[in-house]
Amino acid sequence: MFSLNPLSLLFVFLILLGAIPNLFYMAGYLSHIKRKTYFLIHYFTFIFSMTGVVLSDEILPFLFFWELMSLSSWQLILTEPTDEAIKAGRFYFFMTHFGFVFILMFFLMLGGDSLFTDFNSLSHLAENFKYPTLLFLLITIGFLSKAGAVPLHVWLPYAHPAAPSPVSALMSGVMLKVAIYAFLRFLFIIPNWQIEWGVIILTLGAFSSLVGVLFAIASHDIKALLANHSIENIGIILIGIGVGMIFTYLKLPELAAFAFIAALYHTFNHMSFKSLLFMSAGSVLYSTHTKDIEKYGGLIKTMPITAFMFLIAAISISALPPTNGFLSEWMIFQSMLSSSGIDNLVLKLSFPFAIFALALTGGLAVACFVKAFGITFLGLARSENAKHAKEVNTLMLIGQILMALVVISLMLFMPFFIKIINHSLPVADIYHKLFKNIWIMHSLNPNGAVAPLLILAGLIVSMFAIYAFYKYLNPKTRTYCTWACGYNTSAKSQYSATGFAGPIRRFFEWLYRPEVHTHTQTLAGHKTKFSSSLYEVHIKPLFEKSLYDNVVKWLNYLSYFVYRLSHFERARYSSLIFMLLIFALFSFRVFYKEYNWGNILLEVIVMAIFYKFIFGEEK
Amino acid sequence: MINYILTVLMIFLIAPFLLGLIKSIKMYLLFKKPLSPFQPYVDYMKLLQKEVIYAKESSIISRISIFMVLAPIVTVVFLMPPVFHGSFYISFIDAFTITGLLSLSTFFLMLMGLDSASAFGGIGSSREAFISALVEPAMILTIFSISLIGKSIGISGAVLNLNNYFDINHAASFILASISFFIILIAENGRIPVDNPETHLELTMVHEAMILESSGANLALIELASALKFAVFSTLFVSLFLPFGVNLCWCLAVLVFIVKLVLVSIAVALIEVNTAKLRLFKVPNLLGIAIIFGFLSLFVYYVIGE
Repeated sequence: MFSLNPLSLLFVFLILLGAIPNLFYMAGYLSHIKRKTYFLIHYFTFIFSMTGVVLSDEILPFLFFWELMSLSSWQLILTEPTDEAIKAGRFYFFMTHFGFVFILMFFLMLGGDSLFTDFNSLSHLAENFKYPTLLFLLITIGFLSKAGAVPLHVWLPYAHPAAPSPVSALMSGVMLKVAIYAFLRFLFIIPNWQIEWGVIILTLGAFSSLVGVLFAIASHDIKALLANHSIENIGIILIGIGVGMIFTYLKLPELAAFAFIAALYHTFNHMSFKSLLFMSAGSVLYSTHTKDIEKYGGLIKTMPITAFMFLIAAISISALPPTNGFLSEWMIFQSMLSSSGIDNLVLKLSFPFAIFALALTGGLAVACFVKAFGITFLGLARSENAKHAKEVNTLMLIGQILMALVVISLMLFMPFFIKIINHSLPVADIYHKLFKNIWIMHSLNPNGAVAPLLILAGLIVSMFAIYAFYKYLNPKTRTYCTWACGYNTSAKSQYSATGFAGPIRRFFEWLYRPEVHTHTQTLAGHKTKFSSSLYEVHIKPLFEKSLYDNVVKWLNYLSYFVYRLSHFERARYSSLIFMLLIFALFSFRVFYKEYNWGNILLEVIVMAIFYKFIFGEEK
Repeated sequence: MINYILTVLMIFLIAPFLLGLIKSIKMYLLFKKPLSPFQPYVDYMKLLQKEVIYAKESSIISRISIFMVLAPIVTVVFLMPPVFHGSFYISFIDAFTITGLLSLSTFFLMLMGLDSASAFGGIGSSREAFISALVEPAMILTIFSISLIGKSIGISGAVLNLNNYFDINHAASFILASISFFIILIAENGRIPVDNPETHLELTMVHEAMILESSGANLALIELASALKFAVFSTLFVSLFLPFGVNLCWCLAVLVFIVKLVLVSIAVALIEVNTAKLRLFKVPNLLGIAIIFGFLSLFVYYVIGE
């Protein structure tokens, strides 16, 4: 039922790293939650079920724990049943089961006779399966809708902010990684990868990373911002996996191994800094009672430890050296640069686009986290709530500090993590090629290398040298009003988050399509020249507008049709069910047993005759 | 080892001179009485003795970011490619780390702009975030291309390879990459047409707006950081894209290196005199050219083949 294979153990380790600091944080946060028993039951079920998913080795336990994970997190979103949370919960419930259908189909097609088939025999079954691409597409849709890849990412920015902060940290930090685990686990079961698969995953990754970061910049709810960033990071992980798949197809096992290691190392890193960011943002939320980033400001003075933790995570997620975020992004860049060695010219020419997407993502992530940190913690308080904010309680601080230690240790003990990741994946052993000694990590490209510890040492030494010089100068310092164009500096005159993101929002207007509302006040029915005006920008995610709203519209039409049929025309309704049954049976025959054009033709004719019989007499 | 330290020292010392040189050439071309190119040294000495004033709204970020802005750039100077053959250089760091360290410095500069709650700082940070986000892909693509041409991802290795053997087949790709890198040099260092370092007009300020609140020794350190950044970019440009002279004897090589740096400064000054500053929303067009040239350079390299 359960097995301890290396990949499972690796992810158990990841879950533990993510969950233990979270427990402390949750204990501190608990006073904020009204329905404590309800919350605690679901919280522990959630962690337990994630471990179960990772460890289970047979179909039924896997599906059971997967569903338990979905349901418990769904209930956790509804801990505080506000209207917003109920809406988010409904969306999440629908999306997660949408994915579950595909996962179920994958197992039903592959599983053969028993629901207790273990995954080893599943891989034997997969070798004899006729349509491996179908399997690949099923797991891609099934698991990546949970992981939050474009275009199935739309639930993330609703679901994560609605949950209590410790749960958002777990959902974003750990649950998405469990989906990545499941994707990898079943990807390695399917034999004979095609090149298109790798290209699909790479493209999905590149799009996810760009879309995630662009909507993160535009969002002003701090937790929605972080949730959008999860989409970006999942995209980066998928880029790594996609590159690895392409290299595997091209029979370059070492390069493939490098890319897969990069993807998994980024999985660990994203778990650490995203959890930390959600915890710090949760602390801010805890003491200011608002999620709106425009209401923050100046919090570094009242909440210094939280601010410092947020800063560490922000530097790391912006992929600035020498942090762990930089190291994994460096690895993914290096693995993409290795594409210059492959023979297929078209493929080679398409890699620069992925490099471009990843580099632009990196640049925009810096902008986004300058915004998030700068507007939240620096400047003057923009609201009364922010002015009276206090540092959170010790337990929450301990949780954050522990998570910060995880972030830092992922950087410091990089060789160790790379080693266990390499040994737990079914790929070539390249650890000794990467680390000739533990200080310097080589890539597989000529002269490509990075040395996080040495960079860190260099930064610290040069900083102390400058500091010593500064102390030697010992300049006189004074804290005083600085020039503000003759006015007092006030909270209103400083830059807002909307203003900060202004240039980027304007440049990417074709993507955001913001609805700008400008209300100009009138005086006794006349337009006034110097009235106060309100500038609001509403950005509805493009995918939601174009993809989901239309789907919802068509589903509504369809369900209305079925409703009419089922209530007023019973005979036609039952015949419809009959048709569907025949269709399902025929499809099963065609796809599963024998595939031949004559049969398909025959069955189409049979169905057409049935159709004529049933619906024909309408005149 | 000793020549490595001397090279680093030389870059440190020559950095303010380059900015001073640009300024005096510009003044000369605009029929003003030119300042001495050594003026920045005098300015720094003066600023270092002045009192430091912090805005009363500012927090600890203003105090520490001065060091965090300068320290990564100082580290980068130590990673520069060798100026002459046989000189020691750090081989285990590649170009991604260098761009990353420069971004780290910019990150703290942007935070400093937001720290003092003044609208100017916000303007500067917001614009800088916008520009540097678009510079990043151009930079990565160009570096990728030049590292293919130089057959090494480490910058120092690429410089030595290019000096030893320049493959004429890849000249087109090389020239495209060099144009792209020059645009990046201008954009990252805040020169006209992307940013005007000499005015304090809110319409045009980017870099100056972020550092508006710093004064005295802090201002000197930050000005030094921007001078060093210019020196770093010019060094990268002359080493990668003007690959000659490294194999000469050391005294000549150093001379050639300095002459090349001066030439880059003159080129920047000429561009500054002859172009107007672009509107902020036209800047992406310029950076778009850099990105397209980076792409083209890679494509040309791939199509022509090894």
